[in-house]
Amino acid sequence: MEERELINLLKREKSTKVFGGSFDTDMPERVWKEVCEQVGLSLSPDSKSYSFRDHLDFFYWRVQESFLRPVSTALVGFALIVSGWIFAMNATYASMPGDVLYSVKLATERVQLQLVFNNEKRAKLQVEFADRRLQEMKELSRSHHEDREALVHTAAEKFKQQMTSVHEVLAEMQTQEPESALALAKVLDEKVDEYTVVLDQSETDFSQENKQDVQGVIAAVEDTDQQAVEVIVSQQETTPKQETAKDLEKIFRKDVMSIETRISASQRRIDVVKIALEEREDLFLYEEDLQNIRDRLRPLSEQINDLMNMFAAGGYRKSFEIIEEIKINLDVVEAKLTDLEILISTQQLQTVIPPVSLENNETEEISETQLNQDITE
Amino acid sequence: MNKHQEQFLLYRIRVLKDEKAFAKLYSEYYSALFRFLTIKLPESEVEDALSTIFVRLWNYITGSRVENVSGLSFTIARGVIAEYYRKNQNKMERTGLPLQETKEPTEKQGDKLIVRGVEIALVKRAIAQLDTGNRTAIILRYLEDLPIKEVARRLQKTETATRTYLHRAIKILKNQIDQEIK
Repeated sequence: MEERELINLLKREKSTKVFGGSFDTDMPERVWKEVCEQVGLSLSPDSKSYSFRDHLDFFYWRVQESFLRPVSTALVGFALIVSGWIFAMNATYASMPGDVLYSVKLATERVQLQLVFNNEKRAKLQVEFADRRLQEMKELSRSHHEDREALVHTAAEKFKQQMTSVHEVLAEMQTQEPESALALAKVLDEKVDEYTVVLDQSETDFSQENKQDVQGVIAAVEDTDQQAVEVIVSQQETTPKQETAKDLEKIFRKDVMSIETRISASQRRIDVVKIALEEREDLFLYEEDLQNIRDRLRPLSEQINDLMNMFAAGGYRKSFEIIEEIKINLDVVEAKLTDLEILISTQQLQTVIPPVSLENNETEEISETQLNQDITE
Repeated sequence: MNKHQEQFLLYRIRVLKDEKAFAKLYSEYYSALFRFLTIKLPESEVEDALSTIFVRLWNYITGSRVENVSGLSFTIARGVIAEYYRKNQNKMERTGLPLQETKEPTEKQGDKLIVRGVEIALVKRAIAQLDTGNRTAIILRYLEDLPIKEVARRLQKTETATRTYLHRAIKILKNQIDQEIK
């Protein structure tokens, strides 16, 4: 199925029930009624439109939130610096989402950005602040804060916002200041490596609820890397330089090494899953899935040889496009392997069962065979 | 709804506990969330899950400052879906999708209908296996038929980044479908 066909199918079939269209016309009201009952809202709120006074109140509140409060907190921060309260500023710098001084920290960062007029320096500052958000996510994930998941989500959202700002600046610089864009792209590419290391190291610290936030952050980091590489490739195509060619080669080798490592890791995981299934005598149930994964993985190693030849011949753009395609395929392989691993491990947990207490206070252990029978029924 | 309108409603909900504002947010977002849930949950669970999302959304908005309702609502939706699967692990299919109330094609249905049905089921299955960001983007753009500007606002990306993101998402979906067919 071609991409255009797929898009047409989605648009054509959007009203089918399978995709959540053509739902019962009473559904929205039913759900709203349920929400109102649980939260204590009235079913039919006042239908009058908002008055000018309502909008004025909102405007006043926005001025307070967007200007007066940050300015006053920034002034407080400035006063603290001037008065030499280093301890207080260290506390501000070390504050986390949810802390009292966190808004001071963010306000200080905003003020710093406002005071920088050079695009490249502003982007580098954004990158530094994004780094702080990542550290905050890491610290929060290890903390015992009550609202840990929500605060990690907040830090993740702010990280993505920072990355979006960097994207916009880089896109602007690419047309107006190509040399500066190139310098920034190189810095970004190295920074992305650091972000990736931090995320890999703290992967197990994040709760299940925050896994998707982490995926969002990883996607933002990958987008940034792609954009940075695109800038460097474009610059090399426009104004070829030996130094830029060397930078591209360094990035290329790093990407190829990362892909090769992921391919090897996936192959090892396939072997481990196969052994686990053989021990459980369930291999026949998942043979097809494992074969699909192997079929997807096999051509990737072959593609790497072609890739290296292409790069050596100067086909930079195409080489990096192929790298992206390989990474996409690896993402799918790794996700499928994770699904299999989770399925195997959850089914294994189900075989460990406590004694069941009966009417006569006797206990009886249910056999594994009986449990499996119950599950299949 | 533009960003300013949404911020106005969020202010009304957070500061004044305005039910009318929440009803407006509900009418804006329930459809996309309903689709998101339909793709991952059995039909019988979707309405309950949707009401759970909005109850939690109310609690969150009235308690904290929220910048982006779309992002928050889909984060809550993911959590609700994950909770369903944790409670119902033994009902999952091997592929991680819930047992569907499938309708077998009857002899009266023409071949074309059967092929269409199979195609749709395949695409739905593939969408369910995407990561949340890609799934959300595809739902908002191609199923909800929102303009790029609105999709960008809800995903908190620029329009250019959104177009790139959508292009990548469709490519991933296509690869997924091709693998399913093989």
